[in-house]
Amino acid sequence: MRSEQLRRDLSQYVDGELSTELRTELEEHLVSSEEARGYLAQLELLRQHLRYEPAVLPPDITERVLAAIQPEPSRHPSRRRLSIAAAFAAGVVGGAAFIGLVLRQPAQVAAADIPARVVAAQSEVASLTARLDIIERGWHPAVPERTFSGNISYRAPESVWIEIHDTTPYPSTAWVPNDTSVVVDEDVAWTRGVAGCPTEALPHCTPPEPRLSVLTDREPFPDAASAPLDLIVPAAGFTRAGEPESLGLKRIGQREAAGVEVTAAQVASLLEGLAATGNWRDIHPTDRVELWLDRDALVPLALSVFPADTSDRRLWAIRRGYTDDPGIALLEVTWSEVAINEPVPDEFPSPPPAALAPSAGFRAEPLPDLQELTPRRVPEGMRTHRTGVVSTVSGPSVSVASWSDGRAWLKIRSTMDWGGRWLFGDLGTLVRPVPLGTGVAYLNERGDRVALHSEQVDLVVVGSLPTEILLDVAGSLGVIGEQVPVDWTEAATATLDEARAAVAGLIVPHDLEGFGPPAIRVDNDVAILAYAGPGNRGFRLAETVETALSPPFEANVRGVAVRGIEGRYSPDRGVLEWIEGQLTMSLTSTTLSLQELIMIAEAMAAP
Amino acid sequence: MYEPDSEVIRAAAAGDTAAFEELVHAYQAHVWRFLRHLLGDPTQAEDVTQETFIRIYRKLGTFRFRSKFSTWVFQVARNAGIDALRARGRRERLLKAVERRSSPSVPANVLRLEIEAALQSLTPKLREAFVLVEALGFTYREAGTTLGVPEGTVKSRVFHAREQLVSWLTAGEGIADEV
Repeated sequence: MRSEQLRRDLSQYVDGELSTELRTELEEHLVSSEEARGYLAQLELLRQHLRYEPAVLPPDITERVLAAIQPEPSRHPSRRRLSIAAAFAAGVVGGAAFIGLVLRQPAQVAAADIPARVVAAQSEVASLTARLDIIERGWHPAVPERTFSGNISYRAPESVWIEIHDTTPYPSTAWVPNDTSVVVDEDVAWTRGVAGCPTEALPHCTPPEPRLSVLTDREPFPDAASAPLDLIVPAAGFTRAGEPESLGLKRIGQREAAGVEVTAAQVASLLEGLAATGNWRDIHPTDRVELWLDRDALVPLALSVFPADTSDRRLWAIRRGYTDDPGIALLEVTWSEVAINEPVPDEFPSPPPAALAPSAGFRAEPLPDLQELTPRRVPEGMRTHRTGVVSTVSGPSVSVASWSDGRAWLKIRSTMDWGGRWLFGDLGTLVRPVPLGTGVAYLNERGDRVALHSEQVDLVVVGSLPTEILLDVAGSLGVIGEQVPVDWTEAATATLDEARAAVAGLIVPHDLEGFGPPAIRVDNDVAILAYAGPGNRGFRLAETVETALSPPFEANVRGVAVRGIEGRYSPDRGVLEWIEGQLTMSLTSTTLSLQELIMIAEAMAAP
Repeated sequence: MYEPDSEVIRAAAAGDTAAFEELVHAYQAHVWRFLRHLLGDPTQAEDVTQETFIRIYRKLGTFRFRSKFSTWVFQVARNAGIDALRARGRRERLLKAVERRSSPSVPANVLRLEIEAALQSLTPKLREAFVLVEALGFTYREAGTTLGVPEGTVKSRVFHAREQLVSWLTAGEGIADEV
């Protein structure tokens, strides 16, 4: 690629200064020209080093400047100012703001209590109705912008009805409108929407008839076909969250709104709730989300998703045929005419007749006073919701009890005939043992599941509440948790001390805001530490006694500077690797950007 | 980039040190980064950052709110930086910088050092435009206002800086292979 004009265009392209038309043209050219991509990669490399250079702490010269302009001694800026200055210097202002090396006015950073308030606000919402308006951009080259309007109704604790109508003027009638219906009403859930199909084959690949999916005999608050409760109060996105970056306050309609800036990964369950069915564009987990919540009720009022401005994100877009502009929102949603705790219909629409309606196997019944389902402590205000038994052909018989208070919920599942060689309760392979009473409990990575294993019973406590409350409930069940048998998957679970003993020179991230303590696993001389944050934000750290990196899997692996050493990054798998001392380090995440991984790496030291 | 309320600027101009302190806190890291790349020397960048804020304090009363405050701050920083460059032989500074970088206590991050050295090989005119846009994320227009040149000149200088840096890097060993 030796055309000077092309190189000039690429220079303006990385600066975001190319007109939309030229940008589209250039991106098309990039798909086909390896040489152009090579030059772009060089420009990105410079950008990587100069704009996203690892946080080198700049000196704080305030005292010196103030001394020079105002010679009297003994000026001591307050600690708070100093800590904010240090945070700015490191480009880290709160957990979510981690992504943006953006400077903000200290006075605007007043969002510290929003995560706790969102979690607390769940209990205050018993019902909600709102009008939804949606603008989606970049779904298809022939349809650059789509518009939708609809309604959402909610009745606590787990009934939601969403109707979305596609109001887009499509180029022809061959395009099938993306109308969707989502109904979750206690033990029945059904959705109706157009089936997705490959972008290149649109519009003709869309089946004319919408796809209907129905599930009956649904247990309370199931993992599959769950109600999109984060559209009501986005608790999943803020449990375990650090201080989000504040966007300040503004009026939206009649309501005062507080804005926060987060990533798409953090509010994944909210975004997934909107796109539960139908054909929508993809959103990258590192995309920037401006979310406006009612200042008092913490109900969402508006959100905008902006493409992250990184080279990995741009390549991701090119592969999908998207031409996203970091300055233009690719999704805008507004909740208007919001009515909280006003009457809503007692029942939501039943699924259309004649639809296949598979059963999830839950049978509502009053439960006898099973000790393991009768916690002595549940949070104040929580009342018994649905109880019953789940029987499936292949699984054990499981007793289920649930409690709720507004949108907040809590559930215990227990079984006497667990046959698995792993913990009951779908905790995943990386768990964290925690002492509970005189026994032990196991927490999953995200800290929203607490499992207890004993000779008589296996059980799991799960809910939309902070980890400490789930642990407290589990601790009041009167079940003494035992260590898992040595042949169970979780037996390799380790403490930080054990990991340090197995892997000499182990280092871990310090001062991580917005992530819980890690779940750790040790296999011989490999230690794996999993850290979970709010929503889907999380990463894994693996340290191996090994002084050579294995050959890369992908062609687009590139060199990056990490901790003052040359490392490498595989954007496809989200893996940052480097060698330090006698150890090979790898940080893996599909929900954090390379810049965030580098910052986490920079903050690593001995435990 | 952060833009302070006009009251904060007025208060600082009127001698309110708390308001001025807020301005220093808001901009010092960015000014230091700009000067570090412009001068190629972190220690000197620290001194010139201090000098910049002393100049800003003295000149605050002349700020007329016709441009963004951040642009004005970087105009002052750039002038202080250019004065510092003039005040010492560039060759001598480069030699010093190379010596310091090759000392064994510096982590062996070859690529970063190469980029930093390549940056120092640019003329100050190209370098200041490039650093404002590349490292600090200024738009061409903002950089043009800061440097007192048309937007088109910034566009062209940034492009020529990139051309030189890319050829510098790809001529070196190994870099092209890593990308």
